[in-house]
Amino acid sequence: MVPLLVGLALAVIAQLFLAPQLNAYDAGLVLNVGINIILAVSLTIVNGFTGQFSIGHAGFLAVGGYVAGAITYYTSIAIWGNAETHGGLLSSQSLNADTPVWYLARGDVLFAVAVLSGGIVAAGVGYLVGLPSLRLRGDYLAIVTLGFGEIVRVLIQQTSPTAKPQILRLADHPLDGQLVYRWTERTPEGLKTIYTAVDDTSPLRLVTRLGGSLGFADTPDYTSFFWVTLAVVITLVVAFRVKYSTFGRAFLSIREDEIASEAMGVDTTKYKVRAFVLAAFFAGVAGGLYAHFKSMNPNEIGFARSFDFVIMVVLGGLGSISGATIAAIIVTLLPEWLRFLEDYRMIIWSLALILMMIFRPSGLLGVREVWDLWLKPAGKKPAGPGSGGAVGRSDPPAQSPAAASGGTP
Amino acid sequence: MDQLLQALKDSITVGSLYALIALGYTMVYGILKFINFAHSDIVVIGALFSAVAAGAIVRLLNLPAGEAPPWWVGLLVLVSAMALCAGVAFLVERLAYRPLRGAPRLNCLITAIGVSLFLQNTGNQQVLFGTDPHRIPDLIANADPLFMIGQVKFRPLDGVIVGTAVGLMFVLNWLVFHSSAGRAMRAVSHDHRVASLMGINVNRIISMTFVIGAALAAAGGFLYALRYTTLTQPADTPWALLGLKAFVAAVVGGIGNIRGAVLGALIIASVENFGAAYLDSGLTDVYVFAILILVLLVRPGGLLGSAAIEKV
Amino acid sequence: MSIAAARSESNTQPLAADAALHVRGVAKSFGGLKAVQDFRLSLAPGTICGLIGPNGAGKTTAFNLLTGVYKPDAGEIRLAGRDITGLRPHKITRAGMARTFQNIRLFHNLSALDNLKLACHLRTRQTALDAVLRLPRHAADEQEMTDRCLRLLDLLSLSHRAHDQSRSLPYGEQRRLEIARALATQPKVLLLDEPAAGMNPQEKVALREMIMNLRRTFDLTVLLIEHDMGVVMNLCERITVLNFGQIIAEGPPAEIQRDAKVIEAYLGG
Repeated sequence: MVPLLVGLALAVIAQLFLAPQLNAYDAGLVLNVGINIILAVSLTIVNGFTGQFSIGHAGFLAVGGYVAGAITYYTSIAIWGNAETHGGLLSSQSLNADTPVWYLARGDVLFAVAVLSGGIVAAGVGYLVGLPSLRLRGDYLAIVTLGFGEIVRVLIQQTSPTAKPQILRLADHPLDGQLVYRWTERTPEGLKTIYTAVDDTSPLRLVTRLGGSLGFADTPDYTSFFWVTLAVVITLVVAFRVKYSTFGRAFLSIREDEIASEAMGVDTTKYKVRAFVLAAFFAGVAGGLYAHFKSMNPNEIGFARSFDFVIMVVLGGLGSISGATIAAIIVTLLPEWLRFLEDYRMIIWSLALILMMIFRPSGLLGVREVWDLWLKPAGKKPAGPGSGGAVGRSDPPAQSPAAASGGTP
Repeated sequence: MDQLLQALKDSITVGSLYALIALGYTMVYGILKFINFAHSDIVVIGALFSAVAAGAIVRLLNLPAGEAPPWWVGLLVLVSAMALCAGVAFLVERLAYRPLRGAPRLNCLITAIGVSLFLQNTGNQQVLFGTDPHRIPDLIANADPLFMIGQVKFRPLDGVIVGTAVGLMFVLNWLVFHSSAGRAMRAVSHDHRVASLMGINVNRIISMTFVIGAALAAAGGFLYALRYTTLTQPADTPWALLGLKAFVAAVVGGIGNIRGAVLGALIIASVENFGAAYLDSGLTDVYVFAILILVLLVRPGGLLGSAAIEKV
Repeated sequence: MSIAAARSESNTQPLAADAALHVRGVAKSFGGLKAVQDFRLSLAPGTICGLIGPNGAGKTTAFNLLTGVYKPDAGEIRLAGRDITGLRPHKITRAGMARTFQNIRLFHNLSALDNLKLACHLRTRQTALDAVLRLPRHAADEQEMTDRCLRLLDLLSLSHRAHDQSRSLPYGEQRRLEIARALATQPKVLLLDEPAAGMNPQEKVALREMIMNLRRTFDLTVLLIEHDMGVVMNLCERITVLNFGQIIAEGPPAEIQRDAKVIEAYLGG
């Protein structure tokens, strides 16, 4: 409970005192960093802790983002007749004369519910994706998650443009003067313009109207320093508490040696799925935050986006939460500072990835956290878990000749 | 009826393309047990190089408009693309993968992703292929169909694609199952340690596997370029999807199994083409991955593969 | 001595219902290779039994069948009367049978203590929610695990290694740690795959003492694969001999030592 209160306090401070100091561009950058931290840390739970390899994390970001975005957008229209923000002080983008008086307003409740729903739906999808592929050992998860990310992208591209509200001005139309959605539909007689009263439109007719290849841009902007800080703190607290508990050991043991883990009574499939679902949930939440800050666009949720998160996790050290956090900050900010290198950005990251695997296979920190470096000086004795060479189960230690020669395979 | 025949024809043509690419995935997986994510980028290099090289040769020949270049131009482009890709794959294996021999598979997978990103983004540089789409000139006279059944045209290009692919597969079949190098390759894929005890140079065999796989991928890229003519930049999504489908084909057929890769490629191409013809053409990728999930659920080892037993 | 008494008692094999572990007709083949055929075993509670045989005889395969790593093609495995045939390994461990591995399979990057605590996980009482919210049950459960694992480490003289990464332990200690980890799952039957491999004569004597102590302390039934005949003959009350996947002899050590088929298998192999 204490970290949560501290997080809440931090979030309020960030919103009230830090946000007003920054210009819009820098503020956007900070929010982006926060969202990427959530994604990198959540991916660490799968790729770092359990040693599985998911490379479709952007797919969960998309699921969460579109679900949350659709909920706030269409619910806002149904309640208020428009898709503006109806939040309080804590979700305002800028503090100025027309800043609301209340800290939180009804819009914030809607936003929080929407983001959580995005996370829950992403977790559900994660379960469906993870269950068939996590039963199997090996690299199948990589392929399935990659394919999954692509399917999500393709499906979103197939959706129709968003339904926009308007007051109908058609004298001979029965809905004249009412708030309606307008969209075109392909019918046997050709394209037809449809008007339906906002109050009478079933949600089922709206779920396929997510912007298609044009993107989903009209979501209200609720994502503020407050919400992002809060989400980052909750993600970090959950990740740490999971890591340093019996469940975290179960995750790590799968990474270390799946067969031994199973032999010690760990239901490895169940735990792999749990890790995957947890990661998908947080990715969905991050997507929800992203959707209410920038526009969702199917072109930005493909492989390339997923690989960004993979790079963050690998650079930070597979299994290190603080490492992933630092890597998320660096990978997000560095290109901003090194604009002149823009053309070579991906070449540099890819070389870093290759060289890292050859010379420092467990990433910068391995499974250790930053403070392990100070607590137990490196060089003396391997500190926390993971300071050694490799990511997964590495070669068995040198065995005596007798052990090597004896025994039946 | 025509629709059925058309879908069948496309399945076979596209299937043989996929097969050439899938073979590289399955061979490398068979021998090193990891997904060579960079394989699709080898295909890209093959395709884009073919386009650039063919364009240059055709310009040199200064042919009158509308006339197809002589037959050897295609062959020359194909062979040089195969040589180039083989060289690139050799270097990749030597520099990036070999230092990781014996490392956990996850590390190899990450490296492969790194190599893939590297090849893509290096290829994207203006000095190489750049970000503008490329077009391969017509290398064969393709206007008149060889023959027609109903309204379905069987063009010379279809024959060239299927013929080249089948020819190369026969060569590969001989190489793997009837040559001493192939025997060594199968031995290594069975057990590295034992193979090396038998006097097989394991590293050389692994290099060879990469080189052969890349040459086939280059041929796949060349044929892809002939069929789809407009080729987007190396880091574009369609390329990754192409590689992914070929990999799915390898998994469906039974990863590590060479004949399985061909079978899987034909299945995946059929799913795509029949799905596009009879269902929704926008969702072909969805069908392909649905098939993948289905196979993983029902028969994880693939159609012709057997579930591997892990030694404890 | 008590061992002698135990030996005379265990001369008669227990019935299926009374046995700590009862195996009947278990078979497994890989492709065309019949790795194990008609494997049978009956361990009386509290005994130490051996499984021996030349290299490639199928001993480790038999272990893998008992512990669920492989699914048997045929046969029946009962643990304290309960049918565990074909269950997944984690369920078998939960049912009360734990093992060590011939090629040590510790969680190399975790500390010795964490290796043991992981093995306690199957009997944990906390839920994920307890852990995330750090509810009292989490603290109590973790504390109890730590205490129990520290006692186990102490019992196997590994206390000084509790916080060392398990990969940094010397070979002999790694072997002991694996045994400790198996014990942390609170098994009734313990399977040891070549516990004495790579040990020097003094260490082997100590190992023998240790296994007998552990049996007494934890009321264990032990089945071990071992190549060192000194260890097997001095420690085991009954021995099963495998060759080419088939049982060629079964009985107390004295009989096994005289058995013509066994001698032939070892010398002729």
